[in-house]
Amino acid sequence: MISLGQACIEVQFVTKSYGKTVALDDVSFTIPCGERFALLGPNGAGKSTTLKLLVGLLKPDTGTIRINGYEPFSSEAKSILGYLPEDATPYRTLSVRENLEYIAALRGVKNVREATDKFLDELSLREYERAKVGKLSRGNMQKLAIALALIHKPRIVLLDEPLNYLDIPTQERVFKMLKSLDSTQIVSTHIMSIATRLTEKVIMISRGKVVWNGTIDTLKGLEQGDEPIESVVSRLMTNAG
Amino acid sequence: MLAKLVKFVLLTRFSKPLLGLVTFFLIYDIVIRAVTTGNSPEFSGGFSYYAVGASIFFITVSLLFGGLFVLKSDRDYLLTLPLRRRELSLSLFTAQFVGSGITILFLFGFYLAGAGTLQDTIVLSADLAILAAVVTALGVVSNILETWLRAGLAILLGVWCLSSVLGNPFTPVSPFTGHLLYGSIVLFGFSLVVVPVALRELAYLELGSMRSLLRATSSEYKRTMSFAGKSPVRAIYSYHLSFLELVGRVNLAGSTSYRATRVKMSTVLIVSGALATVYLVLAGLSQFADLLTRPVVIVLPVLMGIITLVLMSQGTFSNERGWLAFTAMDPAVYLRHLLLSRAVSTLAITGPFAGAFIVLALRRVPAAANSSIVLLVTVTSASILATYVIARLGAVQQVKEEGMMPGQFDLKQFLAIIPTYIVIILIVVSEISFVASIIIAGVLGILSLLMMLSKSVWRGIAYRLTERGFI
Repeated sequence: MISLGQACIEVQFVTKSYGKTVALDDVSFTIPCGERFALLGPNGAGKSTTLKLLVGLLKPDTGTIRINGYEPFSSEAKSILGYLPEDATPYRTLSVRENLEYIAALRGVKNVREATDKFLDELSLREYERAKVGKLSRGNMQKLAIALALIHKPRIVLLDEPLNYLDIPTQERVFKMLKSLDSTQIVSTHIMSIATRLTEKVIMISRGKVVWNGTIDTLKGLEQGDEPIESVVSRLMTNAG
Repeated sequence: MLAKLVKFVLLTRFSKPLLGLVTFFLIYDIVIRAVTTGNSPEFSGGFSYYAVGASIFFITVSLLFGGLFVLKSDRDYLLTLPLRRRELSLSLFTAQFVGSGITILFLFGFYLAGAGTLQDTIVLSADLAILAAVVTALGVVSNILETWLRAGLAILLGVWCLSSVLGNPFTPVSPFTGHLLYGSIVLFGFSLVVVPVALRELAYLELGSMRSLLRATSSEYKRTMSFAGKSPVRAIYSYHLSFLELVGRVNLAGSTSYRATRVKMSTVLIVSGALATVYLVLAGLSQFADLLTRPVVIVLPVLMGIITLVLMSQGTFSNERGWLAFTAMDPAVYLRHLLLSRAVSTLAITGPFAGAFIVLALRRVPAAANSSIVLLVTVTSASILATYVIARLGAVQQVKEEGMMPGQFDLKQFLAIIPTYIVIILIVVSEISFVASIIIAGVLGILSLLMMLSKSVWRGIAYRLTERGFI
């Protein structure tokens, strides 16, 4: 169970560079347990790097990150984190079912077959369960990737453009699925309608720095006249640059 | 326009430093050959066997595992441009040639060692260039053939070429057995058949090979694995000991394939077991024993070493998915078991041959005991070390789309072949001295064991792979 109010994700003074390119520069933010945040920012702002650091795939150059009080690469953190990168590709040589069962087994899920069947049905993947992943359409591959990120019922979910490639009925199903999860969520997206439907709060990053942090309602309050929310976001990002 | 297109196609596939190095090697080969002209032996039994063997290897590998030097952006942009088909075809063929056929030209000095006179040298040089074009073309043609047809043709071609060793002057490799005139004519004729087919295929790529690569139909596995009820570590071993994963990469003995596929372990064992048995009978028990035993006892472990190293060093990570495996458990633990399970799985190829060598050693065949040690310990340990080195160099690419180059082929990936050469030297030294084989196996075994035990080493590799875009 999630203890509301307690910080599930803490990022303090984190810097990350790739060679001479600074991807994140002194970034700090806190995500309380149970809350859903959208991670917004222009291309190359550092959103994907942020998620990779949170999930322990990268190490910060300086600063600290804590997931429920643990280091991101600790087994305690790994067991409660679920991560979906952008353009995720599962294991190409395994079938859909094999991918789900393999990752469930690696994660120590108790009822592997049951968990697999649940996602095969919920995401309409049943007819492809024996299909080679390398031969799947991009949309079905994305459905499988979502299932793989969620198969162990993670308490903290980090999603990078989760609705890419999905048809509208599947998008609705995924919306419902994500809303029903009892978890803390960060959703990185460029599409404001996804951010407003899935999350209540926003962290805006531009050029490796946090430039705005607040609720979607506050963001909407910044609208001038008939200005759409996208224009507000664009203005905030541009002004920050 | 053609020159511009060729330049564009080459530079989108190969980095400039890599092209520079390739050019350097070619010039070096030619200069060395020029300096040594006149000092070479005439066509002899030993030279002919190796030249024919190497040619058969390139021809069959290219036909069996051929691929295309195409990028995803070609499908989206290049192939949609209003380009002349002839120019597009020639540009793509040039890229194929640089990526695969050129491998033969690297052996320029080796092949020409059989040419005793200047006249022979000139003819053999032309033959080599034609052979390189043939190998390139076969790699393209391979894409339009069904697997059974590829396998059938590879066997036919292999047998045809092999007959040159028995004196047949009318094969594409007969120039290397002393039949320069007839062999050259046959090789030229053969090239007139396969090169135009390849050029035509490349001219209409989006209608042929690309379409078959990109079709969205979902083919299914007849036999699948189940991981239910398995512990994390057991799941890793179950995966890699049920199937041998083959992940192709650029320049794999002339192959340009980017594929991730799997073969049942039982099938691998049956095939390698059968081949090892045939080898054992021919090398140890038959009337050909004297002819085959000595050279093959040494050559076979080298060949096996190359196969194992490529399978391990490139294949281990090319199909790996960091966002799944490294977030599910400690990357150090995962990678340790992944490497070990894959090292064991490659024993399905080398193990039966190691068994054959043990039998030959009991029959007191020289160097057979060394070969069994090489296959069981040296190659296995070296493949683990090579996997680390190549990942550390960032020289491995993740296969994300079937049949597509994941990105530009650069110098780092080319230099990744260096560990292979080091291991070849170590294998050859092991073959010469039994004591050396024990020492080399012991040192490599201990080094690989120490490396496997270090968690920080493998966590570092996981970070390195992520930074290189492995997700």
